Amino acid sequence: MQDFQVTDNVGQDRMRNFSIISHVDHGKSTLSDRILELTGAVDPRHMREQYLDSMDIERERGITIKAQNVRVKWKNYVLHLIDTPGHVDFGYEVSRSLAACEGVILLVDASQGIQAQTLANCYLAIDHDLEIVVALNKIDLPAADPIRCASEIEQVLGLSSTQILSISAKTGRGVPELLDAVIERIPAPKGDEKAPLQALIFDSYFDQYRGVISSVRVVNGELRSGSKLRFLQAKVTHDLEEVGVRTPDPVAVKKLGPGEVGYIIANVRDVGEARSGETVSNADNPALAALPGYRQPKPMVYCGIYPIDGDEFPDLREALLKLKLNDASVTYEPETSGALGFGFRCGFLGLLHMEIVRERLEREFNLSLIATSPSVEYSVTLKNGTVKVVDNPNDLPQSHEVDAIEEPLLKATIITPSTYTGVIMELCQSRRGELVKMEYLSPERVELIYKIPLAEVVVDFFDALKSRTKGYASLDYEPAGNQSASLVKVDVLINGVTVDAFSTIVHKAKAEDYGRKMTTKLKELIPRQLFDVPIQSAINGRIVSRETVKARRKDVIAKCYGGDISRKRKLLEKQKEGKKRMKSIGRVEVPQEAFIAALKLED
Amino acid sequence: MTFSNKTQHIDKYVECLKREIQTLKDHKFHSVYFGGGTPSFIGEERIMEILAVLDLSETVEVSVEFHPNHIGNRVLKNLKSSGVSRISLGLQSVDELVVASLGRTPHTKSYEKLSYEIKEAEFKSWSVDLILGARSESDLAWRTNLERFLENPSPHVSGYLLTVENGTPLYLDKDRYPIEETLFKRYFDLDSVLTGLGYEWNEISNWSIPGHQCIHNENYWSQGNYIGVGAGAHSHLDGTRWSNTVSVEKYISHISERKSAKAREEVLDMNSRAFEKNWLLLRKPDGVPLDAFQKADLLASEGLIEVDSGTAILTVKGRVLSSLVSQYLI
Repeated sequence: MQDFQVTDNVGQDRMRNFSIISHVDHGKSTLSDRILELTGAVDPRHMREQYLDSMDIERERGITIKAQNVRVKWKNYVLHLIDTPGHVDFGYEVSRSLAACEGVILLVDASQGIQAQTLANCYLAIDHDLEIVVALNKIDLPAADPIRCASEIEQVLGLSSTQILSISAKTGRGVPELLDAVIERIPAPKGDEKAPLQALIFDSYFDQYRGVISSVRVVNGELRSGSKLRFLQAKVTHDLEEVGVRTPDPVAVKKLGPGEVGYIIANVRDVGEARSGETVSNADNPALAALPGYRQPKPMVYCGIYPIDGDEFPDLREALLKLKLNDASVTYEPETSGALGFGFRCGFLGLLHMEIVRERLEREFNLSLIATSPSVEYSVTLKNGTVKVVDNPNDLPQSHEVDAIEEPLLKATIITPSTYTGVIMELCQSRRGELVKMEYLSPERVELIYKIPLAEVVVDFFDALKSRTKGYASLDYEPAGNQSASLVKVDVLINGVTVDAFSTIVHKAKAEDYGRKMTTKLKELIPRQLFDVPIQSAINGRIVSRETVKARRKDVIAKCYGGDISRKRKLLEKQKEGKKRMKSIGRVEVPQEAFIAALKLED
Repeated sequence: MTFSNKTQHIDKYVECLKREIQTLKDHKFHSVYFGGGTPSFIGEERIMEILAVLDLSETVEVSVEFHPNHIGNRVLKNLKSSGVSRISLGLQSVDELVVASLGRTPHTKSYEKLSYEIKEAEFKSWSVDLILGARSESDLAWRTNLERFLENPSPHVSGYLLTVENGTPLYLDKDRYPIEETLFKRYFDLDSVLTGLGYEWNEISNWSIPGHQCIHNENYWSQGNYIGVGAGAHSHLDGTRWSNTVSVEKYISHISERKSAKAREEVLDMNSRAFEKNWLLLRKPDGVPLDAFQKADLLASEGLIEVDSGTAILTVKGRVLSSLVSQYLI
């Protein structure tokens, strides 16, 4: 065997590009770690767990958010392992990563079998015409049932069980054979090195010293250091400052040829110009067409984000600006709330994305934030025929102007032990889900497919599913168009004044329930005032529930003599200080904490 | 203040009190007040001892607070003869059931007997403390008890709304917590009955027949200067407030070593002093200047203050909500 460096261009025949796809927790990061070790890319002494997950949040949550890639040597070949984000919110990013591969390792936990994301990811790979190498993981665990899993895979996915490998990513058992299978079964790239350059960007992030660093896969032509690059979708031109490969440490190279995967640094200041799916070409000889599959990321979920301390508004703006450099899929626009002050209406790819962004804002920028309940994007047809897109309940036109409202739908796939079928059906029905398909994967396991409004999923559907099925059910979803629905806006009024932060769009059948819940909650949270304070909820201006915070009747320091004065003055000063931090809703003073608590409580 | 029930210990403590008083030789006192449970505990003879070391040449009022069970003809006579001008009786209620439900020692004498003895001793003035809003006292019982008190009324009355303080036995017993609505009613009742009988309200919890105000307490509410002696005693001099150690042992050891017993001191800044002044003034019929308030309109429209030529005075409703009203002071 001829000796060569990992950075050498060995030619497309000796190159393999692949991803590992799996359900969450089925061992993807562990397998990546083993591959890095086994191929000598990372010295075992420098090994740390989840090597490719660089953000703290990724390690803590066990979810890959950013796609990574690494170039390793195995026997006589160069392998590019492309790590994909591990959550449905990032489905588009996953699809771009897969577009950079010729094949995948489908990793399945041998004790759990096929889960919802196994299916979703497998279908995605099939859509991309990728070769699928199936590996059953964790076969060393006592609960492993490789025979059942293999037959499930054969039956459900139509993949021959004779070709399924058994491994333990943890101990490394079976991993060399798996890499051999990658070489044998995954086809080599077949790019045209003479053609004009077409390179696919499948991830970008912002580095404060070097600007945007993008992961690329060269499809045709050559990426040469020092050349002028044309970004075909963003329609911008940049000088290529550095091109390199990750081994996993970045190593600059002179050029990348067809089939090769690496990174580029091209003096780009905004990740929005180098989004996943972008095609990079040469400025002086650009390719005629961009690679297929590009699309602008479109937010699915919205919420208002406000600093708890109003003085932090400029800091929040600054933080969002910086975060956006790294995550082009977040959208934000300033908005004002009577209750919460100045903040931003933010759009996210999904619920997890929303949580992650919020957590990063709080953690990396040291902010204390309050978020309003998540909302989706409604399409509102007015009586005069115009269509308005509404992502903030407060922008919903008056009911008499509205002809119809459409809401986004999801196709949700749930895989569950059959014992939980009943509780899941109940849950989905209560969330206005419509059963599309029910199929037994095996006598013990069922696949349920529902059409369900996104708005019903964004609040706490996943948590409810987990708790009702003790975590055994898995969920995957994808957008499935819009449907028209009887939706109404519920307002909450404190002493006759509508509190914008609590307004919500809900289905008519659930509106009164939501209203009642909010009035009951707020009754507990709003301190008693000098006068009776009615708390009401209203649907289209009609009051549907009412509670009263009774006026204070007594608040007095009864005894006030020589020894009491200092202590009681301090008490009053403290109360005065607390009063300053209250927000006025009309004549009513409400502590910020009450808003936070009311927005936090669910169910 | 608590200390172990040993005569020797009390002697030591009284020695220290006298010694602390002697350090104040340069001061002339307008009024003197023996407050809390200490006077009953140390007894009238020691009070007389202490009075003897005080220069009373410019003193117009000497008050002593006493528990009903320590009142007697001889005690009263001795106090009177040593210069005491005013007795404050810590009665709580004429009704023994109410007294017991408040966790207090049962009275050994009826109110009728107590008031008779005090009147016989012919002090310049005297006062009774009442607690309003005990759970055990029904509306009817309250009316009966109030009428019984008013058959032999003291010219000065302190009426305190029952307050649940952390650390007291009541705090642990939610069933005995006063009901806000009841407290509100009791206060209104007492105020209207006393006002009808010619009493004036001196301060949120105090009413008196004209000429019977407690001069000593009035000084507290006008942010005046005062010096407290003894363990845990508080003092105020032109914006500096301080207090002695609350530990009797420490107090005794400090004073015996001729050291100060001061444990805490606070110098009030301009803002705190101004707020304190207005907050205290607001407790009295004098009221505060209207411009010391934020949202005076709201307070007036809610019937909490009455405005009279630029001065805001608490209404009866405002008095029971005075802490809330105080928060609107600038």
